[in-house]
Amino acid sequence: MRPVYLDNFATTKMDEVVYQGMLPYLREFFANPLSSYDLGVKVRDAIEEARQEVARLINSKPQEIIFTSGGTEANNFALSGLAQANKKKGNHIIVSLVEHHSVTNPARFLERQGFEVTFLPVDRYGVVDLNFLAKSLREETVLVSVQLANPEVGTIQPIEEVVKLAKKVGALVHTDAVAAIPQMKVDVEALGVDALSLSAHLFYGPKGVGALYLRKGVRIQPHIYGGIQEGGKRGGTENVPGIVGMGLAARLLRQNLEQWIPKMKTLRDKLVKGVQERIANVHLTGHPEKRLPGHASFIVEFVEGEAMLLMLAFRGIYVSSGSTCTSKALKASPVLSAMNYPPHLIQGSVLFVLSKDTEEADVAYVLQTFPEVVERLRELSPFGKGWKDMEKWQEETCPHH
Amino acid sequence: MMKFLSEELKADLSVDVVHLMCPIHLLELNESIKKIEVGQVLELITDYDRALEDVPRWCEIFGQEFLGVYDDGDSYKFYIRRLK
Repeated sequence: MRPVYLDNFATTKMDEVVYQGMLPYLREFFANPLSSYDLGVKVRDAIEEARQEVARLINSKPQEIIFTSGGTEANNFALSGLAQANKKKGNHIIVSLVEHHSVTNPARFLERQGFEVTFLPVDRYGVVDLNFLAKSLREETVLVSVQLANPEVGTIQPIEEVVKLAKKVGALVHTDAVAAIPQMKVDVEALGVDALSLSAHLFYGPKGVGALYLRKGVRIQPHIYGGIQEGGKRGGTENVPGIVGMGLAARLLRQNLEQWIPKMKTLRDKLVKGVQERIANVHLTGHPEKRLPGHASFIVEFVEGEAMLLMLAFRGIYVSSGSTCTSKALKASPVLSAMNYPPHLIQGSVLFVLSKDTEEADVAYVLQTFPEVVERLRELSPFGKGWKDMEKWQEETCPHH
Repeated sequence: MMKFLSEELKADLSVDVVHLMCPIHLLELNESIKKIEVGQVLELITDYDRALEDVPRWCEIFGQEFLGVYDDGDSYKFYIRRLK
């Protein structure tokens, strides 16, 4: 049985080049990058080289990159740091309802501290409501945070439009690009955002390292106070091997993404078409076209979602039901809820995220195995053979039919 | 003696380190003073109170001219002329 790993937004397998490149920095080049002697300088140079690579990946200046412990820290930093630094302008922030918890939870924390938070709704494809945004923006709005692409349903958000609207009231725009970076070309100048979050382990780099892009001239309040690392904006001795790995992963992505995108898209399209042909009562979630090229997400009716994931795993197919944290907490996905799917459908969600290493044979194996699993589960389901009767009931009650 | 100014001065380069703590204001002085020509003026914007002691002292030690500080209510704007 060949293992088919299609859970690449939970994490990706580190690339060999990244792994080899990190090794010397785990032991051989161990010095503190702040030490002024030659051993320290060598390590500091490696960090600055990695900073340049990350900057090149998103078309920013190296000085605009702040290394963090990952995407979660970058998001927390952006939300609280930008809101606090601009308190004089106002106390209103806007975040979308389909953001990762590392955006919505800091927003709720800011709410407790006296900020007013508007949660931006989405349509049935998961696209943020720009009319609602236009009406919500006001002089006191200091920050708008909308993701570049949604990890659960793959929908790409109209960030350029968000920026245009936000600029009218002088609000800053942050975008969580953690899911977008591995699958689409990202250019901070073209987007016009003030801050953008990245996570290395979603693009074949190591875990425990990420970055926040912060446009030159934008003030931020530090999230972690300490020494002069990262220009005093993020204290703490640097995760040197992690940062070196992130730099290598960024270079790898910049040099190859153009080839990886069509490869992933061809396989993804084959997967979507095959699933829809082979399985009845299955629905693609997220936007049909404006979605990440290596992302396929479905709702499968009349099966128990967690059982589906486990049965697929027994057969060597590793996927998830949505965001990893949501799956663990056994809660209905807030993303699919915001898209107005009822709970009984949400629990049957399944998410296939391809990587640069996904092959034709992987998709063929999924197309052979997935329908069998669904059929078996439907036989076992409490609806039994009567699940087709449920369909009639659904047509009348479910807004998505 | 601290020289408080009643208005902002014209500067050739402005560096903003608002919200950042010690010793970032001093590191920025070290870096930024090299970016202007002798005779030109550097503006350092900070909300760090200790800078009121540190910046004039830094000018003394490194032989640069401290022109004064302007308090705009939110932050301090220090003006330094590069002498060498």
